[in-house]
Amino acid sequence: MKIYIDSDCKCHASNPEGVYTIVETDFFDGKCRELIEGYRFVPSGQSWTREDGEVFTGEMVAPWKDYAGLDAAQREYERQLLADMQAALEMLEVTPDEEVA
Amino acid sequence: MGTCFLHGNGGGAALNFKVVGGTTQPASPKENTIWVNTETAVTGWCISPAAPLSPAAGMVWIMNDTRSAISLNALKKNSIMIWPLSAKQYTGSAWVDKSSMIYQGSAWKDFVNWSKYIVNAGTYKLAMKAEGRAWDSSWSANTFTVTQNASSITFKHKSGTGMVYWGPFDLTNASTLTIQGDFSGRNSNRNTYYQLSVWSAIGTYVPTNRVAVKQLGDTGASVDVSSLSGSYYVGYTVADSGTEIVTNFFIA
Repeated sequence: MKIYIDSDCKCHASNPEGVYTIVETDFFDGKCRELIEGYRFVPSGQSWTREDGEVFTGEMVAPWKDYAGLDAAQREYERQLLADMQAALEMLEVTPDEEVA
Repeated sequence: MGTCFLHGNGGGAALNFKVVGGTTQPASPKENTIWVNTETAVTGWCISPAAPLSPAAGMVWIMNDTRSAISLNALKKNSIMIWPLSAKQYTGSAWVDKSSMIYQGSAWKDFVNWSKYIVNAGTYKLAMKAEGRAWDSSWSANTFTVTQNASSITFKHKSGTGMVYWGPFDLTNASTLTIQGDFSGRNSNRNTYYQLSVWSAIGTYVPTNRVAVKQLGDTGASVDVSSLSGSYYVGYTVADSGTEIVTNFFIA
């Protein structure tokens, strides 16, 4: 999937002003916006310097926000997806043993 | 290289420590007793950052390295500080790893800080798995051959994908996770699949539950883990035929 990174290599799910760099990666497949935007993506051939001066070269994908919060957001996202799918099946009056025509 | 920094037999009046061998931990040790767990008689010892050039069979080489969790003054008067990191014994043709501990502050202590090291000079305490696992539904799982060397571990594998990992390991106080070794034997056609990885849990496929990744280079890689707290599985991923030699794996 396409994501966007800013000058600090932080990820964005959209690029409304067209100022971010486009990146193609499957690391975030199935991931919610909140998780994606809590990550940093350093492309291959580039580097990023952490506040303490340590330099990390790409390709590196690592959270910059506290991961516990990102994980909680992803679990809620998946829970909601499942609830939506179940609601849709109920609307179609599909039971687990039936096939949708 | 190989000049002994400090050399002796057993202990000495001027020395503030003693080196003893045997398969049973000494019952009434004095402060700074270094016990080398070996069934082979210790004919002498050397404390040095590098292996002695002309060792005799039975000699114990204690590597002096500030990565050690332990430090001691080697002398009773004045000071020569040493940091024992590991112990090896010469068989007559090769150096063989020997587990060792030091008695300090009324307790036996490991040389290595195992809350910081996952692998130290090829040795490790946490459970390690080298297992074939599909990357996704289009891949099959490979199989590993694992060889324990004197100061490293060699992993060989063939077609398919898989992962080598240890854990769970606490990353709460870690900023950086680093793996070191010789990764020049990784499959260059599958380079993007060779990644230093952190998993929250081991799942169905290799990438399942991965939290952070970093492309492996010929000598290893480092990944930023400063936003992670708690315990994770740590290791690296592979695809198709290749060989990796892991020496050290640690947090800072």
